[in-house]
Formats: sequence, structure tokens, C-alpha cells
Amino acid sequence: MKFGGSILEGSKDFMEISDYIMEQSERRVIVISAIKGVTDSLLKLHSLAASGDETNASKVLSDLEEMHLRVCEELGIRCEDVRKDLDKLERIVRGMLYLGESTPRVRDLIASFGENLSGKILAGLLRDRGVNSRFLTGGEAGIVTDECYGNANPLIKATRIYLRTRLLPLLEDTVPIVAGFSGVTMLGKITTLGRGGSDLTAVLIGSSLSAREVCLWTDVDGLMTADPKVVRDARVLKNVSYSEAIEMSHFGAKRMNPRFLEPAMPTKTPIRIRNFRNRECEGTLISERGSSSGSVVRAIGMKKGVSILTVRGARMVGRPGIAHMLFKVLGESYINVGMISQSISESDISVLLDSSAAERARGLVEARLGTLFREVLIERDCAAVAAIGSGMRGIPGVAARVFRAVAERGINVKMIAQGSSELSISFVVNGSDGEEAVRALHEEFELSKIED
Amino acid sequence: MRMILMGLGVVGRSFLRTLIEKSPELRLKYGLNPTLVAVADSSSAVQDERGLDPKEILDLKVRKGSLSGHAREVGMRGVELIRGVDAEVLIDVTPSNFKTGEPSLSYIKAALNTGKHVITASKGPFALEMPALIEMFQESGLHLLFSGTVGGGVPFVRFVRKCLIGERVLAIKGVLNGTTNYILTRMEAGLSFESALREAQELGYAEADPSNDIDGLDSAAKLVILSNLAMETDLTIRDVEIKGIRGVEIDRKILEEGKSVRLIASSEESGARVRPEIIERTDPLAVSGALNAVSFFAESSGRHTLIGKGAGGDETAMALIRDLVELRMSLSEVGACL
Repeated sequence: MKFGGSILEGSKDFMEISDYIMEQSERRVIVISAIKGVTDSLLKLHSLAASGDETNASKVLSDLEEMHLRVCEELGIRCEDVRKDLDKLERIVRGMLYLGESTPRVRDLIASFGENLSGKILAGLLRDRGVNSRFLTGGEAGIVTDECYGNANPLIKATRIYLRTRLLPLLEDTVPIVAGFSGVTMLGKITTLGRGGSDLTAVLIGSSLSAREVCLWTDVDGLMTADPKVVRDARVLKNVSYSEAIEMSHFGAKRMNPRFLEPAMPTKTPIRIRNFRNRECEGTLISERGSSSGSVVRAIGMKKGVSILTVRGARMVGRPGIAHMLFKVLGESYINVGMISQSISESDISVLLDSSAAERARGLVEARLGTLFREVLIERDCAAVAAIGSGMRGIPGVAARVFRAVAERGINVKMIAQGSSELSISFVVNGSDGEEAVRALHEEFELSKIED
Repeated sequence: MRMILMGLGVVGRSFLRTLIEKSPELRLKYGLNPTLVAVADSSSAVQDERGLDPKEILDLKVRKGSLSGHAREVGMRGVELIRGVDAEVLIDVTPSNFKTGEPSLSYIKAALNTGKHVITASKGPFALEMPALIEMFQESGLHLLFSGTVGGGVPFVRFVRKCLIGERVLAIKGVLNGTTNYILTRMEAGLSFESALREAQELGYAEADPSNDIDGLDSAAKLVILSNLAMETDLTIRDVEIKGIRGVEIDRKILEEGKSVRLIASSEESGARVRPEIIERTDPLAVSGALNAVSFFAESSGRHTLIGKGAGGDETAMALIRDLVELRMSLSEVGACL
């Protein structure tokens, strides 16, 4: 079970979580995130300390201290190990202030404190309430990673073996509380797993220990057929396959990093996303099987704030390596590309970019490849819409329904992409048409009636 | 190539002897010039960055039982020695421990963390965390060679890695422990378990504490290694169902029917296990005495069986030398075609 930061705000939440853990009788491992906002504060603290800003760094530090100690006090638990961690954090920050510099390794070390603090609080609370409980950092639990600080990748075989050897014996008589988000390198240096890292921690543990299910507790009911802010009668999907979940994780109220799904796939470990504030709802079960309802499209996603960059020119035609040159320029400048499309005539290539990167992309492409393309165009303020569902594989006519539904509302489609895995159809419309397109598709595929 | 040698038991001493004997040949044929820069046994250690004389070390160890009194004796031990001495490769021949993997496990990790390749004959670390070790060495761009861990006498590991490459191995079945096989063979000739064990000890097959052999742990560790290599499983010894030969009785009727009892280690899709099984005497695995045998069941080419001597000191030492040559070849561009 993993408890996310969105449901960890104060002492009341810790009490409620410990109540819930005590109600469960099965053997279980708890993975915990940092208290809401703490990881951001820690990263801010790091950059303040790295730039030598002592006044502001001290302020952030004392806010963090006060917040955690207040939670301890309200829960009435002794907080020596929490205080010890805070002292250690302060010493690191002082050291950085002296040096006025930092490394990615130090950044990860500081960022990992949030989970350690909340984990120690929860373990302390459980112990006070008579539950034999023990806190472990990600590294202590067995998560071994490469040295890609800030976005480290688990060494999967090593991690599986160490998680099994360390956690299984503990589970005999203890409830282990594991800090999400962090791991260690082979040399024992602390790393963090990047955005959505705690989900990854939980799934790694669940799949290594052959758990019956991994439950990710958060503040939304699960994966939905569409964003409820756009479609009022959007529904929670009860069953979703791994590959559908990967597509859906880009959209929705809760953007997730789909990386956490990967360790679950070879072991077929089911993952359930549930709302801790609405425990009546069973949430969404992500599994190998997915839904058996037979519906072709299961969810409509939308992303706003995107722009289309199009390069055009007769000189591109029949010349191998053009796409490579375009993507090389974008890649070298760390510009992430969403959709890609090229017509068979080869006289243009369009790519979808975040609007924030579009102008820079145009500048770079013009400067470096200007002689190759006659025109470099941007269409700003677009919305990308995706119809997602593994049921569309091999079914003719899905695209026809998608585009007819959109056309009937008088919406123009600017760009289209479908991968050959046939998991989703994506297209781009005017930003102001985005919501309407989502509603049109939601209605066309009758997603408000979906049962499974 | 500069080497650190940890362990001067039977295998360690054989390794030194083989090294002395083969060193002109190694240089001539493979351009390999092994230099011992540190050697340690359980109670003493010597170090010289210009190279130690293997003969001197061997004589001292045989004469005095330890290296103390050597001119280059140092105070560093174990992990500290491996970390502190500059070398290309660690040769680890410390005894196998199937519960903790120590001291070998810490030695291997110390080498990993200080950028040294490892050649080992110790089964403990592999039994406990082989997939993890292999992944971590790969991640670090270092070599971890271990053909001395299984069938030093017959190149099982190399057979799997080189000869079966590209094939899917569906199952492995084998007699992987010479001591228990000797005992079972002698029991079939009418001896009791106790006297067969005593005989094996007198002949030097079984150790003073034979439990790793007769309780099946040694077989299970070797099975883990072969299965992970050949079948791409990620087993550890905890995943193996193990039953040894303590308390086994051999029914005369079985023998009359042309059958034998052998301690069979097997890995297939349904799981991995070590247990005494009744097999036909015509089965290639029904080897006698201290022999080892293993069959690989490949998807298209069928059953391959290797039979050979169980590993003694000299066989394992030779496996270490083979690993050394392989390491030398994979590290340099020339000579790879040899």
C-alpha cells in the first residue's frame, strides 16, 4: 500500500492512515510519500542553499522543522529520530551555504528527506499504538539504482532480490514502512527516482514480493473516462489494462509517470488506484487482463497548451536523414516531442510540442536547418485529444466514428497520429475546441454508460 | 594483469601451483602475464605492488600454515585489502557459505566498488544473489567470471554460455555433487550411510563438516547458477526446494529392477528442486563414484549430457586459469580469435 503526498497534510491524516493500517490483517508493506508540498520545499531549500542565500534557506528550513515537529506533537509521539533527521538536514544545508555550490548527488540527498520524515512519523505513531513497525529508507529496503541522479533507474534484478531478502523476513512480525521516491547506488549514495517515484517504489516492492495487489492511495477515485471538469458525467473505469493505463497516464486530473507500471508487467501484479477520501469507491484496477466489457474506446484524454511545429519544403522530398536532422536539433535542446506526423509526399513534417518550447524550437530549427526547409510554421494554442482503448485493435471504423463525431460539431482537425499498436488515436484541434471535442467523443462512444 | 588472491585453502594453493607451472605457456600463447600484488588467507596478508613470488608464498603457506613472517606482510585484511590495493582482478577462492555468502560476498562487492574484475570459485554469493551481482557488474562495465563455481572439472558454465548460445533450454537435470554421489554409489554396494560417509571423508571427497554436501545445499547452489545461465531464470537458493540424502535408504528391490538412487538437481518451468530420485541405471545421469553429470534439454537440439570429474582443487584451479585467459581476451582487442 502506498499513501501519496496529496492525502498527507497534517496529523489528522497520519492518524487516519494508521487507523486504516491497523484495520487490515493481511501481511503488508507500507510505502509513504512526503507530506504535501515538502518535496518542493526541499528542492527550493537546495537551490537557495546552493546559491548561498542564507536568510531564505534558513526560513524554509525552519518552516519544514516547525511543520514536522508540530505533526509529531499533535500526534503525541516522541520524535527523536525525526529531530535527528532535521538536524542532519540542517548540517547539510549549512555545509552547502559555506561552499555555495552543489551537485546532483547532494540535491537527491536533500530531496529524499521528505519521505524519511513522514515515514519515521508514521512508524513512530504505529509503534505507540502497539503495532510492531519499522521504518526503512528506499535503499535500506533494497532499491538499488544506477547513478542517474534526479531520475534514477532501478537495477531491476538486484532490486528484486534485495527487496525479497530484506522485506520478507521482516514481514513475519513487523509492518515495514518504506520511504518512497529514493534508492541507493551500488556505492550506497542516495538517489531519487524522479516524478512519480513513490508509485514506482510501491510497484517494485509489490511485484518483487508477489503481492496480491498494490494499492496506491491518493485523492482521486481512479482513472476516468474523461476529465470530470470537462465532461460532467465522466465515470471511473473499474478495469484498465497496463497498456491502456500507459496511454491514459499522460492525461487526466492526476498526471502520472507511466514508468511505475513497468515492473508490474512481467510479474502481472495488479495495481489499484483508490481514493483515501472516498473509500467506498473501489477505484481502478490496472491489470494484465484489463476490461472485458468489449467497448472499443474507453477514455478520452486531452492536453492543452500545445503547439504544432511544421517544416515544409520541396527539398526534403526523397532525401534520407531529414527527419533525423530535425529531431536531432530538437533533442539536443531537450525539447520533448509529443505527436509526430509526415505525409507520404514527404514535403512536410509536423510535430507537437509544449507551447512553452515552441518558439525556441522554431528559432533553433530555422537557425540550424533553415536552408533545408522553405517554411517553418507554428500553430499556437492547440489542444491534443486522444481516444484510448485496447479494444479498438483490429476493429474497422473506429477512426471514422472519431472524426465524424468531431466533424458534426464543426471542429476542424489539424493533425492526426495513430501508432500501429492501435491503442489510441490522437489528433490536434484548435485550443478553444478542445473541450467540445472531448464531449463529442465521450458521447459518441457512450462512455457515461460504461460499467467496467 | 595484476591480481589479488583471497583464500589459500585447497583451491588457492592449487591455483598458485598451476600458475607457477603454466606461466610460461600463458605468456607465450595468450600474452598473459599474471602478477600477484596481494595474497591473503584467513589470518594473514602480504602485498607488493611490484609482484609477489607465487612459489615463495606457496612454500611459506605449506610450511607454516600462514603467511606471517613474510617480508611483505601487511596489517590490512579482507575488504580493506581489496579496496586498498590497486589491481585489475580479484581472484576469490574463499570457502562457500550458503547462509550469508561471506566473506566472499563482501569481497566481491568491494572489488565492484573499486573497479576490479572478479574471478571467483565461491558459490555462496551466487546462491544468494546471482542475478543482482551479474546486473551490477554489467552496469559497472566490469567482468564477473565464475566457471570455477560449477563443475570445475567439466566446463559446464562455458558449455552453456558458448555452446548453447541462441538455443532455448527448457530444463536442466543433473547430479551436481560428487560427495553425495560417491556415498549413494557405495550404499548401493551395501555400505551403510555412515560408513559410506566415513569412506568419502577418508578419500578426501567429503569435508570434515559434510552438511553442505549431504543436505543438498551445494547441489542447489550449482543448480541456481546453471539455471540462471541457461534458462534465464532469476533464481536464488531460497527458490529451490531442497531435500538432501540424510536418512535415505536404498531398497534392494530397486536395484534388482535395474534402477538407481541419485541426488538429482532439476530446474524446469514448474520450479527448481534438489532431491533423491529413483532413475534407470541406463540413464546417462546414473553416474557412479564421485562423478558429476548434467543434462540440458534444449528446445530444438534435444538433450545434451556432460559427464566428468567432480571438482577438486586442481580442476577448480584450471577453471580459474581459463577465466583468467578469457578475461584477458575480452579486455584486449588482439588475441580474441584464439
